[in-house]
Parts: sequence; C-alpha cells; structure tokens
Amino acid sequence: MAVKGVLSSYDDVDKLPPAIRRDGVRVVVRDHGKCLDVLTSPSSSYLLPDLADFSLVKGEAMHAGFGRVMLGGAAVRVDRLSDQEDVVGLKAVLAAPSVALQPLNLFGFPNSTQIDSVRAIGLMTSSAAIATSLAAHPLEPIKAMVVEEFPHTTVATVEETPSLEPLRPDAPVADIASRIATLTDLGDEALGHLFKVERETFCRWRTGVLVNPRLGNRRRLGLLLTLLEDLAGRDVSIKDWLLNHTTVGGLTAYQLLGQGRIDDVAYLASSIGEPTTARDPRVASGQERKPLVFGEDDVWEPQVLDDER
Amino acid sequence: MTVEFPRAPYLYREDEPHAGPARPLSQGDVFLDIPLVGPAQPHPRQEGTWVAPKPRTGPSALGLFVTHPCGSRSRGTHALNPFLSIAPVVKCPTNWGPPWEGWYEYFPLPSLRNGEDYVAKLSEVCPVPSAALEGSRIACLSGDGLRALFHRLAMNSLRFPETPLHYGIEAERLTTEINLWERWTSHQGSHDGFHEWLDEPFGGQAREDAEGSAIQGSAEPSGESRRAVLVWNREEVIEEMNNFLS
Repeated sequence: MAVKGVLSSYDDVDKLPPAIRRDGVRVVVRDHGKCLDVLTSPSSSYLLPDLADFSLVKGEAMHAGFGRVMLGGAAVRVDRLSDQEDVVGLKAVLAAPSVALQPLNLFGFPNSTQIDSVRAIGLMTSSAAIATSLAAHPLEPIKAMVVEEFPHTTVATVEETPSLEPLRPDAPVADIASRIATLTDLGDEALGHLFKVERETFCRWRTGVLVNPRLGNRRRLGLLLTLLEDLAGRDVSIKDWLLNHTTVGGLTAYQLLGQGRIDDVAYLASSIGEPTTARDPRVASGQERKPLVFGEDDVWEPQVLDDER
Repeated sequence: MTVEFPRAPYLYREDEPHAGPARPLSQGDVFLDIPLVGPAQPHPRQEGTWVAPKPRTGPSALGLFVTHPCGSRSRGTHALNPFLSIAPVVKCPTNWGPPWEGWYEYFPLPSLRNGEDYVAKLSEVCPVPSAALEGSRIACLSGDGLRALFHRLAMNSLRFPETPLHYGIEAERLTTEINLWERWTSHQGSHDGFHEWLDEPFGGQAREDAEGSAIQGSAEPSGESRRAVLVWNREEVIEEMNNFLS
C-alpha cells in the first residue's frame, strides 16, 4: 500500500496527488468530530465494506451535480475540489444545523432536485436510473487514518478537525449565531429555545436577515459561543455532550442551559474527561457549615516582647 | 490557554469613582492601612526562638482580599468571617512589568495608586480581622480582573496553566451578585433582605419577537432562583430588582 497523501485541512484538498484514478477516490471529511461522507455514483448500491471505514467518492462524481444538497432536512454544501477532469473528491460541509444525520432515510437533492433516497449506508432504494445520484451518511468520529492506495482506489484522509478561525470581538450576530449552530449541530428550534425566540427568529439571526436581538440576547449569544468554543477546543462532541450527558440533577447540559444555568454547565464542562463532580449543594442552598472544633494549638497568644518582661 | 492580563482590571480605583461603603467587601478588593502580619523571624539574640515582626499598618499597609465569598462569608447570614485572607500589596519590583509573565506568586495591580504599579504577594497571605477592613477599601477588581486573579491563584498554588471557562463565568457571576448587592444596600440602607430576594424564584425570560422586542406577559418561571440564573439572565434579574426597588 503506497501512501498517496494526507489531508490536514480542507484547505489542503488541492494538494491531493494528481492523476487520481477515475474509478474512485476515498475521502473522509471530519467536521467537528463528525465524519461526513458524500457519495456519488450512478450505481444502485455501494459495497458496504468499502464504506465502513472510509468515504467513497467515485470518479464519476465529476458528473454529479455540484451545489446545494439537503440531507434529512439539513443543508449541506458540496463543493467541487478540483476543476480538473479527474475529480478527486467532494467537500461536504454542514452549512446549517441539522437533526442528527441518521444512516436511514437520507435524501439527496443535488441542485435542489431530489434524485435519490438511501435506506442504509450507501444502499440506495429507489431507481438508480439517474446518473447524478448523491447520498451521504455520517460515520463515527475517526482519529488519524493512514493514507493508502488500494487497487483502483486512492485513499485520502483528513486527520484533523478543520479549525475555525476565532471570531472577531466585533463579529456580527449572524456570525456568532452561525458559529453556535455549526459547533452544536443543533437546529434553529433547539437553539431558539435557549434564547426564548422562535425558530424563525434564530434562523434569521443566523442568516443575517435580522440583526436586532435584544441586548440580553446579544450578550447571551456571546456567552454561549464562549462556552462552545471552549468545548470545541477540547475536541468534545458538543451535540452529544449537550443532549446526552445527564447531570447529577437528572438534567442534560442542554436542559440546564434552557433554564439559564450556564454557570453550572461551565462547571460541568470543566470536568469533562474526569470523574463526574458536583457542586457542593450546601453552597447554593445557603446551608450554614457546622463549625469545626480545633484543639488548643489553634491559639495565638499575645506577643510578649523582651523589653516588657 | 493562558490569560492575557486584562487592560481594565479594576471596577473601581482610588482615583476613579470610588467604591462606596454600600458595596460589600469581596474577593479582589484592595485595602489601605490595614494590619498585616508578616512571617516569623529568628530572634536576634535568643537562638531557637522565633518572633513575629511588628504588624504593618499605616499608609504602606495595603492588602488584597483573595478568598472567594463562599469561603469568606457565612452561608447563612452572609456576614464576613471574623478573619479574612489578605495578600500584602507592595510596590511592583522595578524589574518586573507587563505582560506580567512568570512570578506567579505575585498578582500585578498596575497603576493602582498614583499611577504606580503594585503587586499582591500571594505567597504571604495573612489573616486580617474583617472589622479592620471596613472603610479601608481603595479598589475593586472588575470581572476580567477577577478572572486574572483566579488564574494567578491557580498557577501559584497548583501550577494549573489553563483558564477554564469556569473562571470567566464565575467572575461574571460574582461581579453581578456584588453589583446587585451594592445596589440593594444603596437603596434600602442595609443589605437586609437581599439574599432572601436573590433566592426567590426567577420570574422568567420574556420571549422575544422578530423585531427584537420583548413579548409582554410571555415570561414563564423556570423554577430556578434568581441566584441560579445570574449569569445567563443578568438583564432580567436587574429589571426585576428595579421593579422591586421602585
């Protein structure tokens, strides 16, 4: 197996080795801990073993429609990676928060036209008569992978999660809301709930249609972003942690946020990777501590100076 | 990630609008003319004997309040403990300055007095009667200043290099609570009732319409106390206090 190249970020995709075989390139794209595969093929099915580890982008991807793709209601931007005849792969970026992308019931909408549905990973259920079929599925987060060459297949991997540039302190609401959506992978409704706004309102903040949140919500947007960037910096699967991690009180971190308890969430976040800790409930309840009883050694005697003896 | 020392570490300073007596004494406050006790020294004539130096008082006796309120006040009455942990504050060594790297046993207090830099000596913290602090405060740290203090304390005690988000959130929570406490005391003449009010249920955050306006009557209590939502719902809690005090 010959190493053909390693992608370290989206920006490196153009550095893929040239003259890729037309019959296939495998690409895994990691986006904040989620591996998103974009598959394209005129075939009616894929070989599942090939898809278990790596994303497969067939050489005929060049024939597929590049543009906007919808996956289970989530918008995914698909960009051509190369203008050369030998297309080496596609870049898929979650352009909007989505519901969890399940392997089941994903739909491809290249150029806003639904052309296919997928019943399982890479397995298409509908007619495959359309040559530009597209399918996508998420994989579990994958750490570093080796770049290998298989017969008739070139493998390229993205080793690191693409880092997002820190937002400027004067970033507009749209940038902050978009970044929150990207980092959490939560939908507008779920995020709107945290800020006590309708789904449409959060969507309009995110897309820049509305730029006028109340002062409190402006501050809260920044506050939540700070929390999320802290989590992202530690390679935490943010959405899973927010929704799945149940705290001592029985609430998830997301529910705690919904109740305004961001300080408790930040406290919990600080112990990620460590055994679960809980804040001392007596502090919050104002419960007086029982005084400790010290011995006779805990006495300061008045200083007696030499001159006074 | 380490903390860059904030540009504005003070909420109040002696030469700026001074923190009045209504503001409760809290972590990060700086005091002048308080009794500071230094480390014991060998007796000059009696071998094997140690003597305490004369307590430092007067205009050169400055100190920084280093303990979190949870550790320096009664949880029941919220009164200050009889003794508080105070780090002596002295003029900054001439060979140390911004960006204040290393020397984690010192917490910088730039331009604290008369444009001069000072440092709090975190390794020489001493107990000071809380009664001796009343009326002696000359500065308060801002939220950013508190966050930097948390970082210094952790570095000095544990060599913990990171600045968990918890530091920033806690600094904001603490600052907001003290601000509200000060406002209450200024208005009511005493802090009586403040903590009871803070522990009452929060009325909720009003929903916001697409025009960026609060929808009247849409706030629903979440079941949390005001104290529990101080950071996230600061504006709403302040509004509730305004309504209560008006």
